[in-house]
Amino acid sequence: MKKIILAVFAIMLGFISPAVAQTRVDVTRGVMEPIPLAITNFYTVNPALNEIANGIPAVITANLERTGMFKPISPTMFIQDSASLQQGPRFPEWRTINAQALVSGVVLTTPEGKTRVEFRLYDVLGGKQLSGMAYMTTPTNWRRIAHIISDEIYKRLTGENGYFDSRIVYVAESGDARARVKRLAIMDQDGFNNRFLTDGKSMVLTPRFSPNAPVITYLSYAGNKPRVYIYNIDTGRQEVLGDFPGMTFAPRFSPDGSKIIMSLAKDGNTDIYSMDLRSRTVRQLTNSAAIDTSPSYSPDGNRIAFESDRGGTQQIYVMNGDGSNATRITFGKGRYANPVWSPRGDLIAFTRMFQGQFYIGVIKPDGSGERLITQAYHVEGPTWAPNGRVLAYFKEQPMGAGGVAGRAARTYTIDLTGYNERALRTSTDASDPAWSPLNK
Amino acid sequence: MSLVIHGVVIVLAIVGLPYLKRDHVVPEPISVELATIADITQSDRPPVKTPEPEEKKDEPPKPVEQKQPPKSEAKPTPKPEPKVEEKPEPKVEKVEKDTPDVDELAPPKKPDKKPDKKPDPKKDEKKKQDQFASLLKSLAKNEPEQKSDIKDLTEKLTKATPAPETPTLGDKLTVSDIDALRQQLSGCWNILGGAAEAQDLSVDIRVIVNRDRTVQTASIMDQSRYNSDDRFRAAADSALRAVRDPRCSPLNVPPDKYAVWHDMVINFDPKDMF
Repeated sequence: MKKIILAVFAIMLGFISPAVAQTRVDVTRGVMEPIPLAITNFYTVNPALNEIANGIPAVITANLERTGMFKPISPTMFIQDSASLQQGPRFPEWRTINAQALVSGVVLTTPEGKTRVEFRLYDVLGGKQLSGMAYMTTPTNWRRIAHIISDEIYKRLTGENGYFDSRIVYVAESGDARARVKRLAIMDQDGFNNRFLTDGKSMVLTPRFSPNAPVITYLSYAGNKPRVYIYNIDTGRQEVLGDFPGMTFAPRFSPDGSKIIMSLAKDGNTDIYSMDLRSRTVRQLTNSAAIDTSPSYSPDGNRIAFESDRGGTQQIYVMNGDGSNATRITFGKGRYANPVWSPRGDLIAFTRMFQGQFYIGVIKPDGSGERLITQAYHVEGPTWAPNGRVLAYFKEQPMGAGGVAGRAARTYTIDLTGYNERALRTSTDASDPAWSPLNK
Repeated sequence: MSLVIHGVVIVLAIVGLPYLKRDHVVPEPISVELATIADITQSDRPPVKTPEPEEKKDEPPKPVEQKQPPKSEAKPTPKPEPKVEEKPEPKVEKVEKDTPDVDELAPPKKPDKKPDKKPDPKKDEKKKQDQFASLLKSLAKNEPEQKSDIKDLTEKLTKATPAPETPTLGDKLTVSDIDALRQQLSGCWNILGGAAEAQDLSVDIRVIVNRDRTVQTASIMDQSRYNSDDRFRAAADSALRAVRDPRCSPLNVPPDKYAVWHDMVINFDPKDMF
């Protein structure tokens, strides 16, 4: 009995340790480097599917590399091949080549004749699968599958929604400066699947996507009268938006797609109006002696950013959705124009002109945190990627000696951090880009 | 009333008197030194000695805690197949959802995680039980010989218990120790540039470290947010990658303070980056 009592007492003593807190270390800095990523060719036993099996990883690689956030590792470094990957990754081998994430996949044909694409994303250092998805599609649709997979990888590794499965509509420019042809064109965000929507007989400007339908609104000079049109991408049908006494321009959809907000210039004054697309009723939102234009809704539709020179210089203002309570938010030197509200609602992109240079910048809706992201001789027309983390815009450079041959326009994308500017692949000069929402 | 009082006194006398006759073991006062934690190393004491290597030898079949992160995928078959890296991972294990049409994207499905290495916790428990049993046995044997002194018992117990769990007040990572580790991990922690509002993404990782300063396990403490917040999950994964990054292995911690860094919480908070 005594033994037991003593033993128990001793054991209790053993468990009593000094009250020492668990060690805690705070790491408050890191590096911003692209993640080394290994993307293997997808495995297939069907030679007819080789194009897809090799094409999908190539598209994913290009997408992710373009973000600047990922560094695809050259396949020549790979130790494990696609076939053996089907038995699972040999993580130590992938660690050897410094991969932190690994993408593998399979392409096969189902008994029903459909193409099935499977992919898996692995955390190499953690030795576990992060994501695994399968998609059924028709063989010709493999590029879209590649974009969808890219979005999935991007989201899993960054926590942000991707933007690869989206399109960009823009103004394709060609021809001599004196007879410049401007057509509406649309392409995937990586520049593939380009097609022209209009024939170029009439000049077009400022195309904007509907947030929830395959519809574009834009300004056309058809009949030498500048007016706002809407165009259905699927059907090719287009129509004038109302018959106003003056010139309508700078159109943009409301977040729910039910209205278009635009400027109307009449009797020497320009104000902002909205039109309900169903009832076609028009409502005047501003009424000042100044030029109020370039309206852009906040994502919740409750506020509108616009540019106005009502204060003496061209600046950006924010007002309520009904036009009340307009408040100026920019006070920097120079002029501000083209405000575009981010799909996330946290920022407004704009163009700023100062001392002969153009800038693209962002500012919070309350007017704080202005940040200039890029600068050029002429840079304009910011548009947000669907995830609100990337901007596209166009730059113009003088052509010929002294610019006698006009200007060459190219469209670029840039990360919100101001790094990683990339030119978009277009078959012609490209201006006025407008990013679509994610494809449905 | 007096009857009751007398009764109580008698009962106390009956119960208490024999106890007074017994040999009493007077517990020795344990002196506790309240040391002020200094910013400099207090390494005048010898490093914590751990009898672990010997213990391991005593237990033949158990390669204690050799489980390393490379044990990659969860394996469905609990067969004792000695295959090390080549996992015969059947496709059935990872279930994914089909999207019948490209337009309808199914949400990602996570792989089935099967508890692949059960032995460790059990082994540990068993080990502790064995140690406890053997301790009692040895106590029983030695009892007649020595006066079962509490000191001896405590010593034996201390030997049988792994040392790292019992850091003393004097053991503490100094500011320079912490700074060295922080610097090291900063170089391995890749904050994705595009992550929005990364300022509000503070991630606590609990890290269990082997004696050779390699990371044995690293786990995210806020599991509920990990499972519900995509941005937090990505941030947490990037913190985990930092801890597991070969460039940060072994961890830059003073080898003689194993008891202190054996079990740590590392907070990754990019607040100074923005």
